[in-house]
Amino acid sequence: MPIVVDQSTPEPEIAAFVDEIKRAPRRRGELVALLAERHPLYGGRGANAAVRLRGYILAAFESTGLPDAALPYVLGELESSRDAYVVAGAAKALRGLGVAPDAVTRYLLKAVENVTYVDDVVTFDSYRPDWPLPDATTALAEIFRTLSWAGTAAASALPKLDRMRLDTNTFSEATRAVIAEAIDNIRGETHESEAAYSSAGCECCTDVSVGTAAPKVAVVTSCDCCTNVATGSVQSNAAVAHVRESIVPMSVVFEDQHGQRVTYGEFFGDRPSVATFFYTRCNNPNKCSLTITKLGRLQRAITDAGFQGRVRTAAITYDPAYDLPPRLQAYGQNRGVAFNHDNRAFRTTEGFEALREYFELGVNFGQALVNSHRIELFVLDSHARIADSFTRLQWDVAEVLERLIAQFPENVRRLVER
Amino acid sequence: MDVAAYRQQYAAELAKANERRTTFRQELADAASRTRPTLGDPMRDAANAEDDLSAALEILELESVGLELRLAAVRVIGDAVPARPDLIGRLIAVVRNTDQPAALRTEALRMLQQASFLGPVFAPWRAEYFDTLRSVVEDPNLKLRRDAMRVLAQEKDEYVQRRLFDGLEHRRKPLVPVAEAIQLLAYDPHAEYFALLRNIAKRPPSRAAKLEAIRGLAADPSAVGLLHRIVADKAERRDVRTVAAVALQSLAPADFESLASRKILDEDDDQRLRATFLTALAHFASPATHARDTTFVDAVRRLKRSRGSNALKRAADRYISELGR
Repeated sequence: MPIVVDQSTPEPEIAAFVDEIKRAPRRRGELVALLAERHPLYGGRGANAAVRLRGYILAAFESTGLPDAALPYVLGELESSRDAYVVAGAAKALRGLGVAPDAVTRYLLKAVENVTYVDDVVTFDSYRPDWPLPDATTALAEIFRTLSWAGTAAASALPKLDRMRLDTNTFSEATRAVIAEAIDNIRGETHESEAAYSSAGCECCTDVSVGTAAPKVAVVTSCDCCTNVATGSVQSNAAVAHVRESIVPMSVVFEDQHGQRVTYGEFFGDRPSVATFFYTRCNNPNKCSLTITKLGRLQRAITDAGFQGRVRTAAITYDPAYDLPPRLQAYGQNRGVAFNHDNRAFRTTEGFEALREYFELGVNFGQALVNSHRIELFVLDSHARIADSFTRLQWDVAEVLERLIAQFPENVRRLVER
Repeated sequence: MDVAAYRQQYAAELAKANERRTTFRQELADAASRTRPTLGDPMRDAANAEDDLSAALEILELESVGLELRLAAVRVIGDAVPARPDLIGRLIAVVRNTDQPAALRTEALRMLQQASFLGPVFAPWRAEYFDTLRSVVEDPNLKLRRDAMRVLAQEKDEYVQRRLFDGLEHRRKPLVPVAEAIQLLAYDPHAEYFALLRNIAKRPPSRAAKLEAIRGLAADPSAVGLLHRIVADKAERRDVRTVAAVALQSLAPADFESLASRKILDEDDDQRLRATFLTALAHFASPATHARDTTFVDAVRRLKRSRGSNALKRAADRYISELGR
């Protein structure tokens, strides 16, 4: 029976619950539910606590097996996180798959890029350990171990790995040893001698026996009752059409970067739009700062495509009490965002909870600040309803533009594009 | 000034200074000459080393060599790191070695902090460096502990934050005084210590702790009410009210301006504080908004001619001239 965890549950109890699941891998689905940023578990905690919890949960999947539903969370952390603990946990989690999908290599190499200059010593042997650590690893070591585990699926990484192995300026001797091992394994020059992982497929119909992964053994990972295949191609951040039955928050009041007020319905209600979320105190440059920078690029792409004035863009802060108009303006302008009647940055003056509910925002809050959030951008139709969403993974400007333009009838698209 | 000529002159001065500078080997030789010669004297041997770095490495961990020379050796090694990044490992080993004098370990840590600014060159050592810093968080030597904790806190490190909270919430013996713990946590607004800060602001163990707590609340929008009350409280100390005002101005500029305007005209309030508020309005408030409040502007004009303090009159003068821009 899953326990109820929420913001009042002490961290050691949550860790004990995770450890319990590690001993009973069939229950790993209960851990997946804890990964969503909006889960009450993360409410009221500091950012480091949120990171610690997520990293510890992710690392547990190495031994329980990684359910397909958890894969987007893992890839999102590898792609964008700069915290050594959670990246290490995500790298370990991937090894809970039966076989490595080819596409994971890109995410692992991106993770190397993200943590090379912020690598750190971590352990998952216990939660909140004291120093000195009896047994430790690093984020880079875990990433390279996962590349090693991926075997031939990571063959495309070999040129980069060969360069990294020789790079004494960037990687420590210990890390280069792990890289060398990964290269050897990928090339098939060495073989893992531990027991093969028998299955990491759907929990509804396969028994899971836990062992260390030996990806050269193909395993069954799909069944009729499951919708995704662990060995299939990893779903990239393709647009996911999302029909929301909940009420569109038309009366939410915004204040923009110049202090002008407008409601959600007034701004979004008569033409297709893009709404993305951020906050100025975000300390991960791969998330909010990059999101707003890309929003500027999207604005320029909209103009180049001839749709300026026909669509709107908005960056909405998660932190309305702190992100006052001057901060919104400075943040956007410093990142190349243009502000005008159709392109604005907003804070809510009332109704943030309605917004949070409608968009099912992937965000949570400590006592005063955001403590964790995902990347999220929404394409809205001309009635202000969500038409498409791009969440968790980095979105592509061209793809968003395509989905935005798709909100127009074909005759209008042809007229503009002519 | 002719820049090229200045550069030449500066380079010549540097070269002259270098000539006069004693090498580390010379320092060793001088020190050795003041002691009775013995066979296999490490100091004399090191003084004859090929270069200063070799000499420094030879005597670094020799207890028989005086501390000052060993500190100098650490600095020589630290200065050589850009060309020899492998020396970072030697410095880390000194910091970790609890048998070495605290002063030596502290100096090695200082050299490591210097080296950490080398960016990519330092990358291979970063994990080990942070592991080392955390291992000295409980060191008996306060300076070493503090220096390590400051670096960790600046990096928003989870472990040091946890230990600081443990001390502030009386779960473990505090590693540093309360005011310092708050300063260290303040490097990371995401540390979410605002409830603790509000408690400390209301029931401070020390004056310094109260100031730091209020300063930290500048990142907490829900503290606006508390900050407002502190600023408005004439019975509160001036420095506390000033810090609260700075925090309030950052969080709620309109609230601050409204409160400051009232305080400026309150003849029973602290004159220096009134001058400070007026200066703040002169520099940060919107002149257009204030120019419309003719009652306030006229009152400030009268302050210029009042029997108030010179500081208040100067602040009034500055405010009026900012309005006129």
